[in-house]
Amino acid sequence: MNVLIQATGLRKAFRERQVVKDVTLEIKEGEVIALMGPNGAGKSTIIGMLLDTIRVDAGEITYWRSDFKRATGIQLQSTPFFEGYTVLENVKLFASIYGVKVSESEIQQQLEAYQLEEMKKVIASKLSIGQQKRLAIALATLHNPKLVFLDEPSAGLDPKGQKKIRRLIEYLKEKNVTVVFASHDMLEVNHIADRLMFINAGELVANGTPCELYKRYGVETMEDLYDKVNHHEGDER
Amino acid sequence: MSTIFLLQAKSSMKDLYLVIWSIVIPITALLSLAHFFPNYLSYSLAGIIAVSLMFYAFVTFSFTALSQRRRGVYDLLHATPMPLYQYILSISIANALVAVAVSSFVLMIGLFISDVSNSIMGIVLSLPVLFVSAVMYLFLSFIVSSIVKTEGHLSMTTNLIMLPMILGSSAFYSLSDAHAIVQWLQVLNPFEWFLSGIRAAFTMDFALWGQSLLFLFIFFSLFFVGSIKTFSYGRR
Repeated sequence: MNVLIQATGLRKAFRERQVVKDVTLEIKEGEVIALMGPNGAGKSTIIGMLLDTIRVDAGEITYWRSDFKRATGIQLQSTPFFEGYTVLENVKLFASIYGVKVSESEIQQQLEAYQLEEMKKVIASKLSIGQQKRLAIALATLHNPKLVFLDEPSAGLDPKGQKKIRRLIEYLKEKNVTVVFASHDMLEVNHIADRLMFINAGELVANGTPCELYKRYGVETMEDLYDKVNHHEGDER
Repeated sequence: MSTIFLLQAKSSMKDLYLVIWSIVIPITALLSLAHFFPNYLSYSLAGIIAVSLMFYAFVTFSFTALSQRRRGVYDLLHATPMPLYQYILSISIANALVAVAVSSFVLMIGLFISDVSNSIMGIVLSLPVLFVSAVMYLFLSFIVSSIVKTEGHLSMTTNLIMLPMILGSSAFYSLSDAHAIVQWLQVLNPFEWFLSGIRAAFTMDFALWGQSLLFLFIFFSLFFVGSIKTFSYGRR
């Protein structure tokens, strides 16, 4: 598998607070990686650093191509949309921002894939949370990216909404898109992730496939693994 | 770039603040002056047009830009391959063209009800002045919205910039008897060049029109560089 992103010794502090400490990781093509950890652990900051939207204080990031942003999509936790724009206008806008030409039929297909075809004339900010999350993922994947970052895609959703997001991640996986997603949803992580990265207090405390980590920590469920990794590493510090 | 431009222009036309600042308030002011102070209308026509355009392009857009930033829109933009200068230019030009269209409409009403000498040429000459000024103020709004933290802070900052510009200009009264320092400071006031450009267009004073455009273009360039240098993607 080709390595898309190789990050070494990443560090970041906001004022006096060190939020990312010596994180080294790599993202390989075709993987679905779950970034896990408690709130404030540094997951979003790491995603921002990998996307080059947050400047690193120290460390190095190597990308598989210099214009990696052209082949990368992002769904932010806050799902922001341009004010006053409809779903359809947002799709057209993002296609233009990513420099891709999409036909009306391609837009229709994209909206259907994300179950938003009925909503295309609705102002994006007036959609339900679940629909906003799906639209944000639809926009992030409009340009057929090789790599997609999803920052807590199922946060704040009901079980039905979470299921839809799981299906969308599976859909991306089937299309061989590399996905990195931050999540607290154990079911989501258990079903979809090829590799887990546990972040705690800004450090990458565990990194491996679910099987490897179950074995390493002597657990059988994702909940136990989550507790064990966070408590174990917390105790060690 | 054309898609961004067209979508932004469409969105601007639906903006309630544009309707209020740039259509309702100036037309109400013009009609009131025409009724109660017809002689003063001729003098203040350029001022009313300039103030309404500045309110929309500077004040209203500053709040829009701050709101986009606070909601994370610029964070998202940062993760895309679009160059910042391209985004600022597209958004500013689209909004400026809408502001110019609206200001021209109000200007024509003003010319119709006042005794300001007017001609097609005068209106045509005023268009580049309105356009360059609108884009300049939109660039300034990007700067101001990047350096403030809250809406309250933004409100105070826009007032601190806008009020000296208006009060230190000849928009609503003559400054010919003002202190030499005040007159000299007008050279540094982009709003005064905006006014003199519109007035020069009405009177077909090509020398003053050209000089005004030149100064406006200098401010335009400075504010464009400033908008890029100070641009903040995330919340401060």
